Amino acid sequence: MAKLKQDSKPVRLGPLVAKIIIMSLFAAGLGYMMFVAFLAGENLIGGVLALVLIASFVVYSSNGLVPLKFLLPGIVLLAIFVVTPILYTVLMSGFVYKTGNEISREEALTQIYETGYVPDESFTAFYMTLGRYEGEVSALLTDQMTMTPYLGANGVATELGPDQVQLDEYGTAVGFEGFEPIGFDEAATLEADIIDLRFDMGEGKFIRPESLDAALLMIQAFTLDGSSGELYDSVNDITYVDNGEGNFVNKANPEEKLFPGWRAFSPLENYVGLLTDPVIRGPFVNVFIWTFSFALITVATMFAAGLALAIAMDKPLRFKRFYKSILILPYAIPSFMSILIWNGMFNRDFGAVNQLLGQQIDWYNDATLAKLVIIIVNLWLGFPYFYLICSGALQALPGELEEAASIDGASPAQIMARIKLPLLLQILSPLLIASFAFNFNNFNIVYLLTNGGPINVLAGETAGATDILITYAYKTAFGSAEQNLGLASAISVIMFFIVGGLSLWSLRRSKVLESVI
Amino acid sequence: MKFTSRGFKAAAAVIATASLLGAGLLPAQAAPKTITVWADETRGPQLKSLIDGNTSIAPGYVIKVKFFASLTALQSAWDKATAAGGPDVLTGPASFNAAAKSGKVLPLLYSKAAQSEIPSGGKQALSYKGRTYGVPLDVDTTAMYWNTAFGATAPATIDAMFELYKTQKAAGKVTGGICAFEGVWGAHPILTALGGGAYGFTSNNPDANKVLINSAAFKANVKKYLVGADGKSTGFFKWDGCADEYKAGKMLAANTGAWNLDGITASGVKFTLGAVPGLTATSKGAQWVNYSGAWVTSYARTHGVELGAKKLVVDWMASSAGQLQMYAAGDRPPANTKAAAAVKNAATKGIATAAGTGTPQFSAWLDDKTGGSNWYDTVGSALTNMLVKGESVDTTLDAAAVILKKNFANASK
Repeated sequence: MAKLKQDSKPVRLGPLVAKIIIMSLFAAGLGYMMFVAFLAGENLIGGVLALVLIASFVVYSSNGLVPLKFLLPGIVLLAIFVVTPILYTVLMSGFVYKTGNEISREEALTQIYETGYVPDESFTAFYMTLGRYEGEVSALLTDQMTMTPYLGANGVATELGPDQVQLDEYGTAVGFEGFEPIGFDEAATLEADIIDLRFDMGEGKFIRPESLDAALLMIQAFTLDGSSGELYDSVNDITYVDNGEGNFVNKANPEEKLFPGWRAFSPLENYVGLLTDPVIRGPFVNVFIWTFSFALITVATMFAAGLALAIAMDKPLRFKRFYKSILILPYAIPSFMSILIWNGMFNRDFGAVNQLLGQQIDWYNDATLAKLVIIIVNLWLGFPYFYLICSGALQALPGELEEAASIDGASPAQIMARIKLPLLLQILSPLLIASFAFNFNNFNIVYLLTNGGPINVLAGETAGATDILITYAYKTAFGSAEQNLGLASAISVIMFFIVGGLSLWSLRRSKVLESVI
Repeated sequence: MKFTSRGFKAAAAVIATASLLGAGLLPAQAAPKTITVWADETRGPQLKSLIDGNTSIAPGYVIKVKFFASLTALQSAWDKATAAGGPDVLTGPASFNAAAKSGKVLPLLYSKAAQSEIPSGGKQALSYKGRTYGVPLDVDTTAMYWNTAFGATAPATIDAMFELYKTQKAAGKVTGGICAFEGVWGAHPILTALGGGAYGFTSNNPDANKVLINSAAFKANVKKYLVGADGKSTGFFKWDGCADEYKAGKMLAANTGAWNLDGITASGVKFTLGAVPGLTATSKGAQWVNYSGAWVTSYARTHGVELGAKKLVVDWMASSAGQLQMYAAGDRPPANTKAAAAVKNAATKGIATAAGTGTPQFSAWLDDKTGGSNWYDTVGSALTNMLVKGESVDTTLDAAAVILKKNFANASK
């Protein structure tokens, strides 16, 4: 292989070329994304990409910084895919962010103005020829009903005599002295100017373009008082004020909101709502209790079943290998498939469970039964994992302890309860805690099996009996046409702290065990 | 930190190469006046074949059609859309009109032609607080698929159908009477056939004071036909997971849309299409008449193509000529009355005719949750309570009406 000599060290040409090619491709890709981001006005994203690009050059062009060469990709990906979503969720939880309050205040005001453009009663429309008059973008307008021509220029519509204008074959004004028509192609490039054209017709009415060849006679219902911040609707004679929570509301009746509203920063509103608003607090508390209960019962039952099987399999048994293979089968099948099969098995009318029992039990329409179904199915899905870890842990226990206890006269039950179980719990507690945290967020089992139901909305329920926090948050955010992303974010933040706290505790316990071992 | 000259040279080489590659990759300045239209996987390809690249519908603009793998994917993308990549024109079901409340779509003023050719129900379905935001493109509705194994034609009244059900059930030939494939939504013609439904009308406008779910007639007919002597369902009407029963030939009829035509045909069930029979030989159940629509988004303004997008939507998509072209590409019954009148296909004409007698589906009313829950969840709970749990019909329906009254009153403001 050809070699270069540089800085008194031999340089291998092949790896250098490969490095340059890889770095170039990386830089080209990142540079392209940066370009697109800046072009789209996403300066923050563009800035972050630029930082990543610079950091990559610094790290990979240097002879030092060896640990960073390995860690940088991980750090960048961690920041993008873990830290950023968490920070974004925390940020969103501080906003009134729901259907009707999704855009910025400026955008909302523009939209309110837009809805405030009201056509006159007779829906007077005009054919429009765009052009320049006295150097300004102007329009020749022809009333579609009376065919009266107007010149719209300098903010005013001036009626023209029939002899002043040139007409096309349909009687539409297309020419006027000093007026230079412009084609559609040029007009399209001037849309930003054209869309703001207003030609006053007196009595508060004006002509406004609706497309590049048509305009309408309108009035503007809304005017914003810059000093007081009040919005006045002249059509309905209503004054609206900013309620500080993302909406203009009727000054005389604050319950009457004007939509669209905007995303208003109100850091504690969603959290306070969870604790104080009875409409939110009631279901939230119920869901919270069930989530804890579900995670706890699930872990307890799975552990009990796994341990029982591990003990059974610890004894001499014929066809042990076969049984072991069978036992881990539920673990090997994709869980969503198992859940959907179980879903059908618990169907009231044609489910296998009811047919075996010879009953017509409505498993999914009774809150207690639906919860029972979830726990049974989750037990089915989870016991093989606990069987595996309990088997391993049992075999890791020192045999001398059992032998000594046996010599001292302890029964097998006593040995299990007083010696093995405490030791197993000590060894497995980090895994139990991790399993608790996993089931705390076990979206699939609830969503696919009961979809959070049953729910009796006639009794005022707004969350299903089997909804856990994660499904409740999902439904709050995306469950219907009325979405509340801010509240869902607040619920997610609470879940994050609970699961994060549990994980931290679990890690600390693991460290304690490490030090003991 | 120690840099070598080799490192710098390598970096310089990287930058130079990246610049060259970048220059090749960077897009040529895209046409600045591109109107981007979003659609789902069925409408998208049709629109693409009709208007993608078109520069004559809105002169000065070029139309670009982007379509998604499914309606769910389209909905998800629309939920997350920002000005950076959002569409200028959105097409999809009337439920997208909820974006009007959030200010994500612009109010539209119809042309005079569109004013006269678009049915009032279509305009209302795409309105919010009195302003129209979308133009209806085509009609989505359902029909009753009568299983001809139980008679060449469907019974003329719901009472005759119920009697037939009892006979067939006693003979062990059926497990149910009529199935609403699409759950509560698809159940509407059965509810209306029994004197219930969502809302009544005054002067062709939905009336928030006319909540039909607890009408005296509906209560009486629920007790007569749907609730058995044991206080639970007679099995005559099912709305949850009964599609397989119907396809297995175990139900007399099903109510669903044209989208299940192929599946039902493939199941081997022979059927005729018609309306759900009513209480008398001349009355029928009223199916929901929904509209797919097109909206100009607020992003069109940000992108500087608002006027062009409005021209595309109002002057072409709402026009009879535009809708006939879309019909030719996709066989969906046009919403434009002039276009619908020009359609020759008997099945399409039948659906369009049915749309004229159905109940316009106002998503803003049905999705409102002021009373605690929307129409779908409320009626779902009511049906479960009455037909599964055996709770009092009167109490249940009155409780449902309380919720719906609040919803409709708020939606009508």
